[in-house]
Amino acid sequence: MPRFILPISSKAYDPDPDGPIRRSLRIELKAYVQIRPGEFTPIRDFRVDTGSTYTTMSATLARLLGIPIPATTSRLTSLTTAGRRDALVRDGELRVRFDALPGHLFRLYCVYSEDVPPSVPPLLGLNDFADLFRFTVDAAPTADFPFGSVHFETR
Amino acid sequence: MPGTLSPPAESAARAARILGGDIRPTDYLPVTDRVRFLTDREMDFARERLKGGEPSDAAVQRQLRQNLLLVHHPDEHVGYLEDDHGIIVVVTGLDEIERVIKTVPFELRKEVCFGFISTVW
Repeated sequence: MPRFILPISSKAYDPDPDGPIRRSLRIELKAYVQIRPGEFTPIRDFRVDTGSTYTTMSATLARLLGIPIPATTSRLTSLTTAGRRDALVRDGELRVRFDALPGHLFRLYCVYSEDVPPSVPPLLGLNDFADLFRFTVDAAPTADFPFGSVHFETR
Repeated sequence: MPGTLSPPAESAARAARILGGDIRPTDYLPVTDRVRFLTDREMDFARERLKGGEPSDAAVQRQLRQNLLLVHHPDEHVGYLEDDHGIIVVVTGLDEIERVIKTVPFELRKEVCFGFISTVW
């Protein structure tokens, strides 16, 4: 079964001098996004987000990178940590490859949102990234992965 | 002044040179005191988690490269190359990135990785 391991990344920061030092952890994945047949552009920071219903990308970012997105739009309401949000979206597909599995092309259902700015990283959400991969989060520290790791295997 | 380039033209010329394969040591992001400090701080945390064990060289390098981008290009869109020697930022800003994508042949830019270097995770 094709598989790969990703480190969990860590960053300490100090957003408020009166508050504690904060520590953020994230699971980020470099993906090669298909722009045209045979042309894949690397994007550094896809985030694996099990709290996200959909794989989501800023429509502005997609257009800038040349990713083909559909013309048809619809409205999508979602619940975020900031409350309910209503967004104009385009339902499409994202075709990606990963460094560790160069022979595999993955086709992800993707919601391109006009309301997400290009500075927000693309999210790999449950629908349908989790249909393609089984992933296991292992927080146990090792010398290679001191902040833990995530094991991915194709289904 | 004759013979000098405007900042946008200068950065376009630099990007063209790098993508053409003419890479110089000064193109790499330098490992500054701030980069070292942030990396050491994370590795101290790693040692705590490892209960005194040492993180591997690969883990240290990964953290250092993350901090190189965070220190030199915080909250910026970048396109960069990465090799055994370090990281070379080729373009910054959405306008420049769009220009490179639209005008530079794919074969020359296929290794350029794009992303936003967020200081907030």
